[in-house]
Amino acid sequence: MNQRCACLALLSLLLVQGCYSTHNSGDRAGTTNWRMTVLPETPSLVAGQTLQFSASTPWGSEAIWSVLPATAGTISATGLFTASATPGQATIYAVWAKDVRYTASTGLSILAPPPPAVTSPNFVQTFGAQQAVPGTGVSNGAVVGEAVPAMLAATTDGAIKVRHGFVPPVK
Amino acid sequence: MTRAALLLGLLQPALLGAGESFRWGLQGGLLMPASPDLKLTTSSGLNASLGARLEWGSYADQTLRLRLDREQFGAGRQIKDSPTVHQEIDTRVHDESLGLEQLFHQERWFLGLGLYGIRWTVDSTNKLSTPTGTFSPSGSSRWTRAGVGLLVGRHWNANLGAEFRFVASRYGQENQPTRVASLNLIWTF
Repeated sequence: MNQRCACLALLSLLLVQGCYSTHNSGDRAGTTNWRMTVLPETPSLVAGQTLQFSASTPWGSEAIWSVLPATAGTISATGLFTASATPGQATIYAVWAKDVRYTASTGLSILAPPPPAVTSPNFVQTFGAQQAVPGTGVSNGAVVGEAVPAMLAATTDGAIKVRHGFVPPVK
Repeated sequence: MTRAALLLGLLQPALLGAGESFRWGLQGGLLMPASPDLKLTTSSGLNASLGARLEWGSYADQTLRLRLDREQFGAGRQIKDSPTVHQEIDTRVHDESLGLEQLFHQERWFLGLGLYGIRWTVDSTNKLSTPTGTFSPSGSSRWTRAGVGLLVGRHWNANLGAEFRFVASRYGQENQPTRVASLNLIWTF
């Protein structure tokens, strides 16, 4: 009888201990970005470029990746994202490969590429205003009808680099 | 480890006296998940178990059981909405357990305790839906954990009886507590 009492007392202790929990688990719906996270947190990149994402949990980093909308780009099994040519917003999703209930996501901005530099190899000064090429220390003396002196100093092939937004005067 | 040592110590008298009368049997019945996480992951629908056991009596009022069970829980579904995403997690849980039980008999009634090794499996689909598309990965996760149990039962005759069993264990990556109550019919051959 004493043995029975001892057994039941021990079992009761074990059952109570086995029932105890202090937290909600991260494998429940709605617990995105808790036990699993994705880096970088607030990414942005230029259309057409690539960006490496990484996922982590306390138990490992194996992840299954996706991007929504799918037209925003493609993401490889290792988390390498390649943006499409269209600017916009997208969301990167990752789930832990060993338990797909653990979820993480991050918003992504795909930026328009900057306009390409304009090259004007035969740019000729047509008005008297003084012009300067910022950052180069090159400026011209505004001689109407002659080539801008800066072209001689700008590049060795005789081209003048004109910054975006500069509108040369038209004769 | 400490739990196992303590329980094996208590079971030692039965183990030393084993070998007198071996019997085997089958058991099957209904399950009821009784812990919050397991309730969330399963359903209140049909949860059933089936198993087999080998038992031998050591003393007139004690029996030792080696027991194998398979428990299948109904599918569970969790749904959460946020401004940006609709999430549905579908889960199906089952487990296989191998355990050792010590029973104490009092006429037709018996009271018992058990120690189990439980292999949990959760099959999951995590569906994330946004206005621009859906991501729906699936997978299976498995963990092996120890469990302890308490059972009470009654024999109607030498071959047929019923038992109520309560088993506490843990499962999941974060070791969430699991508690399962079951009502089984037991056939002994």
